[in-house]
Amino acid sequence: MIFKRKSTANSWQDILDGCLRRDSKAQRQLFERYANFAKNTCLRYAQNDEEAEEMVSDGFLKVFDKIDRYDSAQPFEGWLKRIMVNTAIDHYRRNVSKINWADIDDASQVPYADTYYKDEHLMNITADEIMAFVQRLPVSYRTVFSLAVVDGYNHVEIAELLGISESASRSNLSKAKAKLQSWISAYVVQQDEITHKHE
Amino acid sequence: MNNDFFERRIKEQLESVNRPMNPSGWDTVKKKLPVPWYLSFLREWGLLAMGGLIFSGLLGNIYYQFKNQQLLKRLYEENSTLKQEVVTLRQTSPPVAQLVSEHRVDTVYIVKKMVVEHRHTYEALATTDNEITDESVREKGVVEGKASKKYPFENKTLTSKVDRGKKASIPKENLTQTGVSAADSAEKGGGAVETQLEPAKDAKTAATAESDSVATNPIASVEKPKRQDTLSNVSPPLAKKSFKFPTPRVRVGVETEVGIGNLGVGPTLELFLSPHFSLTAGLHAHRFSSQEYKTVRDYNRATGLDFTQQFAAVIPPHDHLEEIETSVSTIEIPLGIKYYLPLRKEFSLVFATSTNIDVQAFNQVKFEAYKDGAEQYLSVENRNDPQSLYEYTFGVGVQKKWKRGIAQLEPFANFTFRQPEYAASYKNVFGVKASVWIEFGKK
Repeated sequence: MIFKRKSTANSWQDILDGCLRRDSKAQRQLFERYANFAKNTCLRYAQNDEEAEEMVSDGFLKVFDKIDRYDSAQPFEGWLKRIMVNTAIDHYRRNVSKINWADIDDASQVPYADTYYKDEHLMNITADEIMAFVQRLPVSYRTVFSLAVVDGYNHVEIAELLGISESASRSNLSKAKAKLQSWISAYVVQQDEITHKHE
Repeated sequence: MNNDFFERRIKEQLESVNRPMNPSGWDTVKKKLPVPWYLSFLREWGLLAMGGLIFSGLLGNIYYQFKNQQLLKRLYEENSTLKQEVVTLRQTSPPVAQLVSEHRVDTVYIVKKMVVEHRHTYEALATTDNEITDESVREKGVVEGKASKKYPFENKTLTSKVDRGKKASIPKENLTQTGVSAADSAEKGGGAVETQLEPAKDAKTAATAESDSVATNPIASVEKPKRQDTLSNVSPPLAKKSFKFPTPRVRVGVETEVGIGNLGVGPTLELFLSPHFSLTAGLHAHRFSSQEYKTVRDYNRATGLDFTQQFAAVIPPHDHLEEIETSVSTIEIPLGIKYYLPLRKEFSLVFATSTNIDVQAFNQVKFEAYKDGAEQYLSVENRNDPQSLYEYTFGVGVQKKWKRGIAQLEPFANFTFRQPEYAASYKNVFGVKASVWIEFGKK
């Protein structure tokens, strides 16, 4: 063949090189490859799917802008996850003036009466249901909880990232966990009651 | 309560969540990606550049028309002068013209005779005044030599005509080599063609012949018929036209644009650069139909914008917002070009393209804000930064004309290559423009 058809960039190196050249096709391939991973990272920092997708969009803009800083010897997922978490924190900072620092009991409706939490309650609840409860937390508690419990940041780092004191970080985490346990246990107990009634 | 187990279990569960990204996610990212420099340049300076080009084209066109008018004026003047001369000639010497036109063959003979006279004059001047250069003399010798060889009998007439040449006192400048050569060529038989090659010099030669043969009527009668013949077919002179700067042909009208979910109306001015080509500009008020969204999430999803950020200045403290209704209105300057293709007597096909410069843009937003269970209904108007050059409209329509009155109907397609933030939810794809006009100026 005299005219060789231009091949599409499919290999990882081709995609990276294309992104370095700001090639739109390569950027799209990178996005399509990692968009779900990025969204699932952002979900626990967002109130809902739409907000998570906004974070993903903003995060990928940073990825494309700073792709030259990525060290290809390291796993891309780790670098991408850090960028997405930082983007989520940017969202938090942008909205911090609108955050009502009311007590968690006032800020979020409690669906059921207090029930004592037991570890086995966690065995009877799905991942999506846990995610729904996390997303129901106020943004300040949700962010601290996700940073500390899921992404492994310590309170010093969290305090620095969010611009709050260490004690506030500890307090928010403690209250967030208590609330989640309360909701989860209440939810599981109610589900059990419904099941027994049907039987 | 085992906190470690709780945290580990929650972490595992949260990390196992797998919700796919919306398929349109890439489009959202692509919209926000930085654009190439030329697009950025176009956004920044495109309007100015286009305006400059149009203005330059307009000036160039006016200058071109002005130069054309000047040329026409000069041609008219020259034409009138020539016609006046023709009239004068006709009045002064009609019989001579008649005579010569019937004896064209004689001119060949007379030209030959002129050559002989030139030689003698030339020779006489050379010998008496001693002012002619050696080179001229040599050329003369060559010519004379040729003439002697070919026409030896001519020498007999030379002596008798030298005196006449002196009496005529021919100016030296008339005794050019060209004149001699041309005559020589004519002498050789093919002269009719060569003598016409240089009209100015021929005229000189003719003048020489005239002055040279004061007493010879046939020669004098030769020259006039030549001019008479060349001008005999010219039509009578026209009235002299004075120059006037071209009167612009303009139309003033009212244009209405109806699209999918939008309505625009306003005055428009149309300036014709040529009989079929025009520029249009107007001032239109445009209103887009209102859009309703149940929640902020719906709004954000439909527009790709953040409602709370977009209207941060007007949204009060709240727990949540509902029942959002937005409508957009703009004041814009539509700029366009049109080309008219005549169909029948009163109908024309109109090809048009246009773009908009938004001068003012307003977002009117109504929503319900809930705070501590209390509902608050709000209606506010938000003024936006107007944008320009974000769309092109292409249309083909029909025009009907009654004397100075014109009506046009033009379906159009709209190509929006970037969306202003204040009209993010509006996609105007097709529409119809209807307009009525009054025409002024020269057609």
